[in-house]
Amino acid sequence: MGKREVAIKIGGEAGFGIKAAGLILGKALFQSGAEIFGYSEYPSLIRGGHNTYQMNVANEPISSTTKRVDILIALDKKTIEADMKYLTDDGAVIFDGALEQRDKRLINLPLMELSKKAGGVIARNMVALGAGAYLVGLELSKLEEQVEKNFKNKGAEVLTMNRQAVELGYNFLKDKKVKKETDLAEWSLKSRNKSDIIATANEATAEGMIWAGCKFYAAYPMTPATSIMHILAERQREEGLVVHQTEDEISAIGAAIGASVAGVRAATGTSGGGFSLMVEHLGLAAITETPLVVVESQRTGPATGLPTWTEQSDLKFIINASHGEFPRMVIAPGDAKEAAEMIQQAFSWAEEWQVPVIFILDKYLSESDFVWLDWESKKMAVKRVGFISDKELENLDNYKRYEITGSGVSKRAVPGQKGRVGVINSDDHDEYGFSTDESEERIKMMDKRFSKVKNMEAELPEPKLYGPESAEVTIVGWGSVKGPILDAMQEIRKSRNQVRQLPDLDIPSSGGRIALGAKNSKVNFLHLNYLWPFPGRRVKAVLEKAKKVLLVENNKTGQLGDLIREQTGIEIKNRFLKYDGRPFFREEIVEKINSLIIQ
Amino acid sequence: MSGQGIEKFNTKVLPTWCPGCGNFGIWQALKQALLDLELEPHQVLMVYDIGCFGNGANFTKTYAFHSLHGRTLPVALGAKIVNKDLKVIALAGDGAAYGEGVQHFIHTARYNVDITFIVADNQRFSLTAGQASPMTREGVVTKTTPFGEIKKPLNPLVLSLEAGASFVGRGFAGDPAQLTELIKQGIEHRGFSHIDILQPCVSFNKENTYEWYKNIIYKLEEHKYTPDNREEALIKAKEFEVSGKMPTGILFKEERETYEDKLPQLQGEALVKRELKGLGVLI
Repeated sequence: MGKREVAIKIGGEAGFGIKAAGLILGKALFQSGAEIFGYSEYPSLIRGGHNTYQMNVANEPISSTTKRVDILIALDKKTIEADMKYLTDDGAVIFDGALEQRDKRLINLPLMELSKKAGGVIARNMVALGAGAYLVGLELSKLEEQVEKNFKNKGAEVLTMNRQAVELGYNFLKDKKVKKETDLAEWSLKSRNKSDIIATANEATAEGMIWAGCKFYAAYPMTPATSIMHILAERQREEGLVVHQTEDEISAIGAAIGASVAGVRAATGTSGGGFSLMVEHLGLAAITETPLVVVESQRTGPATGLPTWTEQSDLKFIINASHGEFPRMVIAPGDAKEAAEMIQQAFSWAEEWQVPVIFILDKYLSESDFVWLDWESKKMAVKRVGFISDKELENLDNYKRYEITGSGVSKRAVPGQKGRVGVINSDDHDEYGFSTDESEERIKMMDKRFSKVKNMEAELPEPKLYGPESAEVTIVGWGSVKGPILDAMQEIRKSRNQVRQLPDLDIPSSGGRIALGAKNSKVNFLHLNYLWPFPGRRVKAVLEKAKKVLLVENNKTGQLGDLIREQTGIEIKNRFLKYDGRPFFREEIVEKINSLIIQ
Repeated sequence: MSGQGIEKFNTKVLPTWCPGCGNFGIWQALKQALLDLELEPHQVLMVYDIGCFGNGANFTKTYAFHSLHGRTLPVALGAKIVNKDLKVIALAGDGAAYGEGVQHFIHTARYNVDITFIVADNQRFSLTAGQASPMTREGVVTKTTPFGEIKKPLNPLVLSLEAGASFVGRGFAGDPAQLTELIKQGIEHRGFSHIDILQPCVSFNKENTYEWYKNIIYKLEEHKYTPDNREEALIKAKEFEVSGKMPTGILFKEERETYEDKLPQLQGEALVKRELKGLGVLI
């Protein structure tokens, strides 16, 4: 039986169409029923450099990338230099030309010659793709379907060239009867439903925003958040929303606040640098009690840092951003499906509690390709709340925008609404909104805003515990480490089963993952999506019972670890931290967990 | 329910400006303009900056949003785009408009969003008790320029004209009658209207007094000036630097599609009205 997971990595210069080609193959594999996960690396430039796209293909759900590569498609020499070391012993490398490495399986594919034959060297990535498809046993027709879909709007000439290119690449290996790395035909894959798709977390976030009825999105371009703006801009006319590209991030958040004050659901999005510029306005949204959603897709900081790489280093900043004290919500999805679901919650809670909600992604989530099954299943009904009706206004002697209520939330009148007007005030204010610096009024208004917190806490779902209630090692992490950790747990479980011949346990796998117990498992995982208000009680309860705790974070200082200590008094000594701009590779986590189990 | 006079735009809060402050004249003209245009308080959203002029948020009865320093225009833009039926007016001082938030000023002029930007220009930061602003002239001594200002002041009318504002005017706080007319026209104009108002600060600007202004200003409308040419307007905007005379009135005005006009998804009913219909709001 061949491999049940294959990692295909395509490398070349920027401008070679690395990611575009990889995604075509990924979609073809996915449509054939395989599970995939796509991950890209690239420097901050438009031409040259070293770009890679890695597609892990498996017969079980996966949502992480690996260091190991089974098929390396090298479109240039640099890829050989940079990535050959990751090739597995029985892996294969596709390259145009002779190579010195004798210990690896080299498949010489005349990319230039074949692409010229197809119609131009620009199609060399597609020639390579055809060869890659052959090596995993994907039917040529499946790949051609995707090529067709991808190029049908680019004219007959382009389509023909690309179709020919994949055929030439595929047949070149087939004619030579090159040994395949695996054969999809033996994987007994089921065909896909139309509702199963591949998406990045940015695509899922944009979709979720549309579902949530977001009618105004203001932003300034910044990697890796920008593709949200691209998608919404493209769809703004059909969806009846406005995408406003601003002069800077300060203006973006200001405009979103203005639109929200005027009565629509509004949001802005950026990365850490842009968010740094926005923070004064975060306090403005808070003190004026204006619902607001801010997407912050983290990248490697500080300052320009590694602008196209990933990191989870803005957590404490986001929780504390802006001067003064005010309630806020912070949500961090762990994959595309969670992003679509949770961005809708973000809008609904921002409106319900009239607070800013910060939605954290990172480059790994924003730009990796996830399988998203039954994509519309997470669509929620939009329920607008918190407005005072014209009728209620008519019957009021006095409308108070900041009326003290039990919940801390007071009803909003919308500018333009007849009856009473009021001040929506960045100065602290009385119940009408008029500026005041009286001691009693200040205390009253601070307490009003903070009285929302207990209700917000009650509404937030608790962190999920994946795996058994009790385990030898309990991993703690937030946001994007979810995929690598769950996949590592799965890998450990499978290797143990092979040794001991245990029956399949019920650790949930990605895609339709749910928290179930698995009696014989050695590892469980506490995953935090809802980070503020901090779910201290649940975290404390789980960690107090845990035998050995491992913190996994994509940052230098273990920010969640600090937060847990601050909020629960529990200090986590085992910290697995990574801050080289790369996400966690599955093997790294497997190795780390094993080292703790063996100890 | 509301009175017939401008007092219907007063709240219960009394102005906190110094006696003799130029803001009183501006405030008077603003309320008179709203009255003359037959606008009701609820039909207007005023977005105020932080500063002496911004404190008007508490004294003026319309929907009010008291924003951050320098940040009136983005908020005003967001509100206007989603509710095109609102009259949206942003109000700021010269420190905010031409210093802290100058990028918003230039770009909002460029977008030509249908909002009116009223700047009370007293050449000082006055709420922080008298520092030099981007409008302070060279040589002027303030708390932050004890040896005299060494930087050149900005020319905000040139900025907005060059950036693409479709209505540019200058008023004088000491002439509420002309100012009322100017503000009315600014509000009625479809597109970005920039009105810079010469505002004496009796506490922190001893140079640019009411008398000082009266000696240098003249009214464009009394000099057969037609405000339909951007190049001519630029010459007028620079006149003070050239001849020491300062024209007031409308320097430039053109009919041009607004930002909102160019967004097909905004045609028809205002966006927010479609959204809130089911909630008994704005019916």
